[in-house]
Amino acid sequence: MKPLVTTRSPVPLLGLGWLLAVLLVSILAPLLPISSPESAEPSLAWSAPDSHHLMGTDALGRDLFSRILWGSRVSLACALAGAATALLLGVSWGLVAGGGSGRRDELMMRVVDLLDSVPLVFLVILLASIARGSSWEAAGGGLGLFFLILGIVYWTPMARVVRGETRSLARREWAVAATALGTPRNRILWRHILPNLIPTILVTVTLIIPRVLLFEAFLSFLGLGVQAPAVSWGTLARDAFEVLNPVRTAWWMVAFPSIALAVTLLALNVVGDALRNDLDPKRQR
Amino acid sequence: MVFTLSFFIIRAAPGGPFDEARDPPAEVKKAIEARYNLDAPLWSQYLDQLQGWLLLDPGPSLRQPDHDVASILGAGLPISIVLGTLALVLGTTIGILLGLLAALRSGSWIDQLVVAFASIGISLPLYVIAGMLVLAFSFGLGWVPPAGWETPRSLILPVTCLALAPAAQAARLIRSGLIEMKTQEFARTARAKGRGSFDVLLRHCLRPAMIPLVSALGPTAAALLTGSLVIEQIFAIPGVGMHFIQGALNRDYPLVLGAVLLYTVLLQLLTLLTDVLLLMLDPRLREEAP
Amino acid sequence: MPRGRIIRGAGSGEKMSVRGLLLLLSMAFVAIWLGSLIPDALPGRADLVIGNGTDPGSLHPHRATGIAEGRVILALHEGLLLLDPATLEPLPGCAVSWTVSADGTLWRFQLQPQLAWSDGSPLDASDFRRSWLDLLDPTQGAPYGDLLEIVVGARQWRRGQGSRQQVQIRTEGSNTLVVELIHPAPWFPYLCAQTPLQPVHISSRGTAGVDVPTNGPWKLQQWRLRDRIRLVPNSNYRGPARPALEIIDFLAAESGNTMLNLFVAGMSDWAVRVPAAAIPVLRSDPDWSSKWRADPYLAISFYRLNLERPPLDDVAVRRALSLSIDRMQLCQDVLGGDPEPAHGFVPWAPAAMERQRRKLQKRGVSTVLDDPLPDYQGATLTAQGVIPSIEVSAEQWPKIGYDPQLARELLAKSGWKVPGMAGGRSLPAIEILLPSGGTNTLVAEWLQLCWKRELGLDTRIRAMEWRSFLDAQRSVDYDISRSNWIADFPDVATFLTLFTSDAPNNRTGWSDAEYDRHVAEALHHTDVKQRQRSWYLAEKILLERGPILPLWSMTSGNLISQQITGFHANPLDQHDLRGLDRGAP
Repeated sequence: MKPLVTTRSPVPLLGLGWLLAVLLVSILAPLLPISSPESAEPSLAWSAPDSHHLMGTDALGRDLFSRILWGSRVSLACALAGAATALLLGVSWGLVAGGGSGRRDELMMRVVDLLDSVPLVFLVILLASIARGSSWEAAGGGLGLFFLILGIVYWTPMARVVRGETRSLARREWAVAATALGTPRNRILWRHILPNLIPTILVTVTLIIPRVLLFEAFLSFLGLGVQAPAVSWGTLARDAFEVLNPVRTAWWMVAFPSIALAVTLLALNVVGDALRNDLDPKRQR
Repeated sequence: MVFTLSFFIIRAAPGGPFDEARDPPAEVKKAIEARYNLDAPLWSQYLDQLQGWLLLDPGPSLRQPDHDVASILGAGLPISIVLGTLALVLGTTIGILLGLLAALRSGSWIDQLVVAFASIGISLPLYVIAGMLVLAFSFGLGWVPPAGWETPRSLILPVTCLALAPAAQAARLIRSGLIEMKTQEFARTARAKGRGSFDVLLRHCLRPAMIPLVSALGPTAAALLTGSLVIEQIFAIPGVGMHFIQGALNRDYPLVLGAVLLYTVLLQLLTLLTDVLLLMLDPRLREEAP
Repeated sequence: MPRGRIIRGAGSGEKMSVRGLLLLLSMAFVAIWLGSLIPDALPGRADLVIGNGTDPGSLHPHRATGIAEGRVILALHEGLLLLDPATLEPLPGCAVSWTVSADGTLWRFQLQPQLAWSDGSPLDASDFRRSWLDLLDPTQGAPYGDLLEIVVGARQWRRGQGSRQQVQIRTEGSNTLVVELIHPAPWFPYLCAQTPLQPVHISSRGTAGVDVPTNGPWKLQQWRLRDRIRLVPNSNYRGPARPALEIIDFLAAESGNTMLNLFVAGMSDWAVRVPAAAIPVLRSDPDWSSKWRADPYLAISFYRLNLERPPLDDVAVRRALSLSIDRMQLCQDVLGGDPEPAHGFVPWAPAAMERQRRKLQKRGVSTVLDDPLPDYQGATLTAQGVIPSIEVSAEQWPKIGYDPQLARELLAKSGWKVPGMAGGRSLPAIEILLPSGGTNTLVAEWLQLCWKRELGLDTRIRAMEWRSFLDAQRSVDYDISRSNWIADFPDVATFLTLFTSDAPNNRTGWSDAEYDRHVAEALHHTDVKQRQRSWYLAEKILLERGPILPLWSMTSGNLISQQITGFHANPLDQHDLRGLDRGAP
């Protein structure tokens, strides 16, 4: 693995800086000297950005800056947890399929094919709407279930990539030799092949994270994702659109959550591209 | 011959379009499973519904007892189709033009502008774009209505928003395709024969460069459908996406299920269309086939 | 061989022409098809466009519950009587005249001869009889069936002790309808003009569907869900007043903000349910204030509490929830300043009316409505207990029921843990159920913060689309649920009969024998003084131990284009569309 610093352009570094900053701030949000995202001062509702409220306030007089910071916690958590779910599901599925017999492989990949031919986004919305009303959500498992839902959409590409690499790695001399020596197949898979897959997996994860982040924003914007009082960038945008009118235009409510999301997405894409250039096994060969 | 070939490809492709499109029960089952796993004691309803769906008579909406699902979706479909088709056609056309322009002047500021447009258009969430456009053109300048579905002017903003992503996608694909083709031997030969570079680009390179664009049509259309969910909400457009999301929000399962099925069929049809188009564009596919 | 050759080769020759033709044909087909879709999809502008709020759940007069539905239904139907748009005085509708016996219980309506449905088939008194009996029919489960329980025999039938034939709604000949009531109901003519009592065609009995004849000045042309309902003139309408405007659209959108945007863009002439956030601007900005009408509306906004769910079964918790709300702050911060705080269940107490009058005068609005319920003294829940509303001055009114310290003490006394005090069980989290859409959520979030701050109570918000929301509320599937109650007629009875043990719209699980007794007495008194006294006692009990949190007395909120003439403010916020016209721009 080459370090990222070798990349010539400063853009990925800027992106990485932004991502680290957002991550840091979101982790530290409870410790930062900002007002609580839920403390309302209705008398200050609808104030435009000023020195007290850097990004203005919302309809209840809550500080938008702090809500965006707190929103980043949920949004990033969703992106990471969703990607992690996809990672776990995809890697294990891909490994087991790719390392298994021809028949098992075919069967498992058929499932992936089938899922890919279905408009998964729509099924997930169906799922989300069911989850919304279930007792599960009422019991407080809403966010966890939501993570799972996010992961479900994006695990198939991971499974495909991992399975492909696994098959090609399993044909290498060292793997064949290990098999000939009587090493159990599972041990070969998890101990020997998996570590070799890490660059590929990383590359795929960098592709998945921005998509999950976007998908969270999409679902929350539609009202099917994160539920109040939790805030995410998607719910903030939804709130803004519910009051977007020319009579009393609160442009800051639309602009800042959107910018936060857009810049983060761009940063993720840029950093992802750079990582791919450095890590992509095909380009290394 | 074209017909036989497309038929052949569709038949040969694993998990091909017709399997799904003609076989809704698998879909129904999956969707219903998702529903009933969480809501178990309703198996008899399942059988009734299955029968209803097969006969294209899914019954009344759960939340709008005066309407049945088929009529709700039937009213929404033409709207969504108008919206989606216009966006796709407009977006692709603009994208191709931009891609051509960028490839012609590759490396220039125009090129860089197009590249920037493409990367922003692809990565920005739709509602951000819609928000900016509404703020600028509806509230700021007052040129177009901010919502509703009434006169042709109502079409402008939603179509523009929705067309942006396909335009960005097309611009990127065409640009990279053309730049690659430009260096190919046949293009150089053509130029050597005295044709202008624009001419060469248009006559010789555009067609092969279209192939990746057309093969990306399926995913683009899928993204368009997903995008229409957001756009129809923002602009209060009574299309399928609106019914789908509102149905999902108030747990109108028959309606949501109907919409999911409709989307599946639409996507499969689009995949089929893509295959046919590809076949028309790429002679290699045809010659390998028999 | 360069690849270009192959490609060019494939593109020429006979294949090309076949393929080209095919492509051309398919493109032409798609173009024609798209072209045919567009005009159907885009309906064009109607003569009058009303931004009507949420989509109606049903256009069946027996099943509709909301005001959005009512507006459409009253344009599609014509009841026995109509209401004067300005004074609300009952006017002849299908009935040309009516009389009432001296004891106020026997009503006789003389119908216009030769009435017809929109399909041309005749309509007579028996249609009204059948419709009203269907409304009462316990097997039909009409949500407002209880409105007619004042008819002799109706209550028994609905409780399973009588029969359809025993209900005293009779016809004499084909043009006379006779109704006998169990107690005097001076408001009965108003009732006859309301949505549930509209005549219903026999074909719509028990079934759903929109393809049903109606008898109003307009008939339904199209109902495109989540978009619009389009009405066109009913050529078979022979009523007293023909409409001035022909095509009417009722736009539907979940979000009031969309309604506002459509109005601003000139796509609607009249918008209701405007988001509260815009109201301060609408009130003060000269561009808007002439279009913004916010008059006292006989309607109360309150929260229902489900008494079957702890901790709301504890009266101390209910009192504490109420005492910790600064309603004046709520009205100003969240509702845009038009409504007034409510400390009782009957809205617009004299002090609130007085404050409203001053507000409107300050805005320069000349037409100020009179007190809609002049005889009733009203009950006000203060920190110290219930007192008659007439004893409260306009200056005391805003904060009279607000005492968060007392709220905490009450909770602590009842064994609950509160901030700043030791011991007690912690309050379990409570869910607030509401219909999705701007103001509802804002109010709930405001209360959420308020209760968290004052009482340390955690609440969750569950927003549902109107229809699902209603289902959940009716089946008492909530902890706290947002509610509005809008008067069916200008009389206290419309509010205070709501929470009797057997009232179908009680929806709280609360029942109190003493309250029931006072209500029953009030209904049977003929003496106005005694009657109002009983109403007061009933409201007092409702406030002391009842399942409600009154929040504010509502104002109508109509944003109406100045091109529209014939629009009159009234306390029922009912506007006969026949009277509306398009004046000079």
